[in-house]
Amino acid sequence: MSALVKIQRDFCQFIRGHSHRDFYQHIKNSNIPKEDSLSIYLQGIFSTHTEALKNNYPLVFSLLDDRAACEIAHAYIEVNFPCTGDLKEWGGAFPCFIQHYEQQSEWPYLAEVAQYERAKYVALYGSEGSLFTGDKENFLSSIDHKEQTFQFQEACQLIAFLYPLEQIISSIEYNQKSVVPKTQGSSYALIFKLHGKVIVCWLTPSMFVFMNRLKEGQGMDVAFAAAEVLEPLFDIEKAFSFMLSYPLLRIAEK
Amino acid sequence: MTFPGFSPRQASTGIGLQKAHYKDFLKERQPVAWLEIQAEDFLNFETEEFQFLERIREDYPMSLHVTNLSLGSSDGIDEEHIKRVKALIDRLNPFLISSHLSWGRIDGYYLNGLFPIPYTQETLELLVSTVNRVQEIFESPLLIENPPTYLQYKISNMEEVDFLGTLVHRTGSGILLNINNVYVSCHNHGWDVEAYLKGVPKGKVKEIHISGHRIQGPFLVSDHESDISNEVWNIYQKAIHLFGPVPTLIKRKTTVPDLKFLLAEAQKAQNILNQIRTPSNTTRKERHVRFG
Repeated sequence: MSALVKIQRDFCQFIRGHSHRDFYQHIKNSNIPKEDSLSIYLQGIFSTHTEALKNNYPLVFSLLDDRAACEIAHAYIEVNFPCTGDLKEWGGAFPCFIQHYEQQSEWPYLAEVAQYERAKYVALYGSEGSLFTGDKENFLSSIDHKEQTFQFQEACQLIAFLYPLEQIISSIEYNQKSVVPKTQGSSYALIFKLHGKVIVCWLTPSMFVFMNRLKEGQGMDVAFAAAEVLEPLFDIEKAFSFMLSYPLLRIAEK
Repeated sequence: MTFPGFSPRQASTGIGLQKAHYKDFLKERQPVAWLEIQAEDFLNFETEEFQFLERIREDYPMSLHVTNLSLGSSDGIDEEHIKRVKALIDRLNPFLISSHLSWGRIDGYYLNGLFPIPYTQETLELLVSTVNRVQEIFESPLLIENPPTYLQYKISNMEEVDFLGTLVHRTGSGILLNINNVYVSCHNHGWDVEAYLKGVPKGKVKEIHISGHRIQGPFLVSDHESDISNEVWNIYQKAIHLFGPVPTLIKRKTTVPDLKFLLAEAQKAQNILNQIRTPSNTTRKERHVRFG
């Protein structure tokens, strides 16, 4: 093994907490203890990655005090050592990690806030694609069969939350964390991209179900039936008018 | 390969473009000659932020700094990552492109830091090969920045400045001389600053960075958020007299101060650059560059 490979592998082992003795042997002796030199690099790595998580999940970290923020970031880094130089991409497993992280019980919806923030990132870097540009007013009448399916923009996501995320996000953004309800109460988000910006809309349960069935590739009739169960007077024209106003979808090619 | 962009007579100062300042740059012309951007912040073109960047680019030349090239990694380069950076280069046409004399990736793990390399023939040959390949893909010469270091290796048998000088000679690349990193590394290892500067090959310094550091125990630690110290300003002055006027960046990344503060720092550096424009090869108009 070349000397350079050995040095770099031993350093990586040290950083990952597996062993520091192997790397020590490479360091030139000086008046300064080797641990002090290495601690600067270690601090730098944790600082860089903690900062990356804070940038990717600002709402999550605004709920945590400094100590809790450091602890959760360090715990995540230790089990998700980066395999990418794109630090935005590296944080993708963080929502799932929070869900299983024992120390986050003070904020029971923390994982969902992280999921929301991750969804926004995915939307931002997804493709808007080319969508419907036809006659929006007569769209429904132009559809020739009720089993018609549709294609949504790649960046579009529909997420059901167990907690009232709209109120939670609003409270956090207006710096009113103390009034945030900690009890469950479903909420439904539509997250998509328009002209390079991320848009979030909060949906009724019926609208969510309708859109979700369409997005899954099910026909218009199946989606409508599912929505009607939750809202007997579900207005399909209004639903399409909403979706086409951005637009979010187009008729799927056969 | 030849370096495009500013000639020494046109050397001027720039600052890093920060998200907090986009609106200021979009609203009106700011008194700064050019801007630096971090490549990894803009690898996706389908965002509003990238649209802002392209609009700002219409008014300001840009220098591109690539953080995760990991030139010194024994893994070799990540060609996928480099090709993404190349796409950005093609969009923005930066007048200078730079990265670090360091490594940050091994066995598929990205440590996302700038770690020291041993200065040996083995490392030199690796870096010559890597830098040549990067320049081939970029279709442009690369500037290599001296790192701040907090340890030295037993097996190093070359001085850092000689290693860097040999590397740029063999590859046709250039040097991004980070004055703060010279000061920090010299302090940490007991090197002589004057000797370091004299060891830098003249004519190869194509950009200078000035940044801050903090004191941590026996070390100085480069941190991009502390104010630039008087010592670093003094060394900058010496460097300009040694190397001539060179595009100079005020580097501030982590805690982003008020734009006016950064512009004032840039003007301070510009005043130093102006001092050494020799009367014989400048016009009266060129002698004092001031923005705004």
